[in-house]
Amino acid sequence: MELPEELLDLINKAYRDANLYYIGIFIKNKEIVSRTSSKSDKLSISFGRLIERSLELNEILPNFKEEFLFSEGKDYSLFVYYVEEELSIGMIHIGKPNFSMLKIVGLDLAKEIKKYKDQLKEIYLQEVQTITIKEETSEEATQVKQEVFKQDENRDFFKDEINELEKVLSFKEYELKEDITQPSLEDILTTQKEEELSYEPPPLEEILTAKTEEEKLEPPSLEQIISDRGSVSEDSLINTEEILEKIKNEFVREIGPFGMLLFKKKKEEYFKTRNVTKFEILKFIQLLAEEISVEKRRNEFIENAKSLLINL
Amino acid sequence: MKYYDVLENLVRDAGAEGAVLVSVDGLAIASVLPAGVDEDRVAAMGAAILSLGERVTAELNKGQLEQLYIKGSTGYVIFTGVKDVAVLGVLAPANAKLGLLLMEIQRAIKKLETELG
Repeated sequence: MELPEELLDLINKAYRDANLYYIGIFIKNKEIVSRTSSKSDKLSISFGRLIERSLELNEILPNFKEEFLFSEGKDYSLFVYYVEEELSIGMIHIGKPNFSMLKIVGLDLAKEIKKYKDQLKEIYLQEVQTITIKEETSEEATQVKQEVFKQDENRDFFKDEINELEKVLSFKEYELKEDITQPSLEDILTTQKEEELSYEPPPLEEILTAKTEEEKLEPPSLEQIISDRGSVSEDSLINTEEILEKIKNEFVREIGPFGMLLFKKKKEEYFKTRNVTKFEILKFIQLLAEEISVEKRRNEFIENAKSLLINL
Repeated sequence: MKYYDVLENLVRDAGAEGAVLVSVDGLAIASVLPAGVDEDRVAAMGAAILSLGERVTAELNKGQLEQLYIKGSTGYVIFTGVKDVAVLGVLAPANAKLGLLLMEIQRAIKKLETELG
């Protein structure tokens, strides 16, 4: 679905008239359309998260109903105008802070944007669905192009994940070989005796055939593993809840007690439409990591959380 | 106790409904909050919102975010950084005099900065 021309004109007009650095229309935490002088994609992502988190104030202060958010520094101002429960306008102005101007721009634009709220929500739903399909069947995904969602970023995200998965899976192979329950001394002695008694050397022909068959056995490719991930992972998911609990603890350790609420919310949202597989947990860890603002702590969390998966 | 006194004076002098001092990791240090408001959740939320705001300003290369406020139909929630170690959250009614409130917050911040060393 295309964005109406009139809406784009309205945004461009606000951007020019108020000499803004950034203006974006958000549904929940997703930027649907924006205009900015910034070259960084991260700005809209961080802005979206800020909006999402500020909307959660309603859970703490009942009927708070956000009207606007404002912050200023020496030479910038940041403003969010909450049009409706899930629809907001985010603006950044560089220069002498001007609260009144931003509030008026937000107010005027909000009146106009209300007309397009259904279309904006439809675009949001389409995008959410597109992303979900893409994650499930990467090649058959519908390609709905909106400038809002950063496809390249998603591709990079999966690339990293696949590399990580490869590491985890290859490590698991060794783990499985070593993960045989240690037999007791009695068992060893009995087995040894039985082996000694029943041992008959196989004919040379048999040994050679077996060896050739062994050589033929090749480890499955990563693609095969990923395509089979539903069934494979289900088998290997023995203590996923326990692992998720440990991941939660790691997350709370990095982000503080609010992490408990956030983890619960993210977990419910993420696994609502997905199976709890190792692959999905890996992606879930990345999703959680995005909530940790300090890079060092974020990396620490990813490392610790992934090491928990190795033990799965 | 000293933090509690600063918060209590702030609430009284600025006509606020409550205040909470939070460590940057979201744990409450001291609070004066109305009944029914969960100290831990306000604390955690304050630290999280300010941290996300900081992330936006970091993208702008505009230094550290010092204060952020949210206006709702029932009032204001104002989060202010105290040095790099804490966040002061203030809840105020919708009819609060914002200028006075912000001035009192700055006064309280100075006291807290001294206390926090």
